Amino acid sequence: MIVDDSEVDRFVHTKLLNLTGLAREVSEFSSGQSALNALKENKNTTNALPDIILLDIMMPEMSGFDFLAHFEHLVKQLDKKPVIFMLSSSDDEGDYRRANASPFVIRLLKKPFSPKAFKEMLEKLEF
Amino acid sequence: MSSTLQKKNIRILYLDDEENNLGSFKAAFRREYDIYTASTSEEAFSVLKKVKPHIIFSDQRMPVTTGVEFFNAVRQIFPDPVRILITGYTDINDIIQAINKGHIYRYITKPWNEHEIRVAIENAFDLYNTRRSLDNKIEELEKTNHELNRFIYSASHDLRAPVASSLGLMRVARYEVKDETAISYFDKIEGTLQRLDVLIHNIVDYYKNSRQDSELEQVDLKVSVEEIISTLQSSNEEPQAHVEFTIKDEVKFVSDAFRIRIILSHLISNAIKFKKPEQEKAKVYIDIKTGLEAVHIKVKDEGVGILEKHLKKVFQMFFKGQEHDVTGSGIGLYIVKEALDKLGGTIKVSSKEGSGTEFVLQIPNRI
Repeated sequence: MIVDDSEVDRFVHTKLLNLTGLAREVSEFSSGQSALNALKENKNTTNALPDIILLDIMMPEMSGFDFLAHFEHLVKQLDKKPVIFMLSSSDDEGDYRRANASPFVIRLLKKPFSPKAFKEMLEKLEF
Repeated sequence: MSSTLQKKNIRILYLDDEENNLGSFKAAFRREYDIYTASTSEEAFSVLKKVKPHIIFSDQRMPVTTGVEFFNAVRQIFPDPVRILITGYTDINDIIQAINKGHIYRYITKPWNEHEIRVAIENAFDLYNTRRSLDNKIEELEKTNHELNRFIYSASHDLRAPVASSLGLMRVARYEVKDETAISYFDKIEGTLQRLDVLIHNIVDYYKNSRQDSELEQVDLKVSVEEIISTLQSSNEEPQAHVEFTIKDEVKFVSDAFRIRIILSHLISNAIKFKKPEQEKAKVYIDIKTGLEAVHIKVKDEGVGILEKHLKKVFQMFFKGQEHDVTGSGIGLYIVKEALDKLGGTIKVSSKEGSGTEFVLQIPNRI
């Protein structure tokens, strides 16, 4: 599941995941709210829930961190618990700290998305 | 003389339990200033609420509260007005204490004369205005500082976002396009974008470094260095360097984590970047030893090296040693030096052209 308001970035991430065969299926959402809705709708359908969420930080209305706050409540109801990688063009220390402080976030990755580094991280997590 | 003076908008509150005193005070000064009087502290507080005086005079000896006690209470709620006590010589010890504690600005002994009061009012009003303009300046500075913080934050996000998107697109394109001419253009575009990326990064680091106060905390150098290396290596699809990292950190190290990161990441990134054209991968050695007094850091590479005539200039802003410097913005090492200055650290560089560069740093341990 990709949550990013930038169309180009969604395109890039989906393409790279498909080209490298890292993902079986990719779903794109342009806002945190639409992604939350999709998770709610499919909360009891394990197959329709994502394993991994790639979450952008700077989005209008609901930022990546806002999304996390909602996700924290929602996650208990989900039949499968997705892990989250935050993705951002950020260089900001504060963002890194906040991302690291969240129990749901594996890591904050700096854009551009690197399939290779991502793959290595997944291997470490034994996906 | 007083009748010819132009009335100034100075608001004065005078508290005294003796109505006679209030009357004569008012008679003497009402033509020059706005005079408000009160005979109890309750009354005085209700005046304070309504008119916000610039200066308060109070008698010391009053039946319920003394002048010093009154001022002490006023100060908590209305800190702005300048406080002046009117008193007899006999109370002098209490008065001195009150002045020393900052409860009152000055005192005037009884019986007062008009000239003395007038001088006191003018001085007190100057003080009031000076304080006010200082407060305004502080407020302005805080606003500027806040705006700068927002600028830095948005620079690190919004300015970099399109660069990152473009670099991502390049990455996709490289999977799908096989035409050699096209690829040679990709290389050039990507190089240019990376250069812009480094520049944005450096500008943000520069501002953060010049602005922030040091925040001391325990710094895990092993984790910091490993993170920096992994970030640098993952910004390209293939790792660009072979890095050997040794550390002895039995002594815990306390410093400013943000500046340590700035220093290390610029040095390590340089060591990787300036490899010789014939080297397939850069070779970088990092050695760190923590001690009670300071941490010793060595960052060494086997890259192009720096010409001897340039060695002294590498820490200057916008200095670029190479004419064909691909990704340099000329401020990396300048930022390193600035950050080190803030930490009280030192850096030495030695280099031989063609056989590599070595930076040796010493940064105080604030344990």
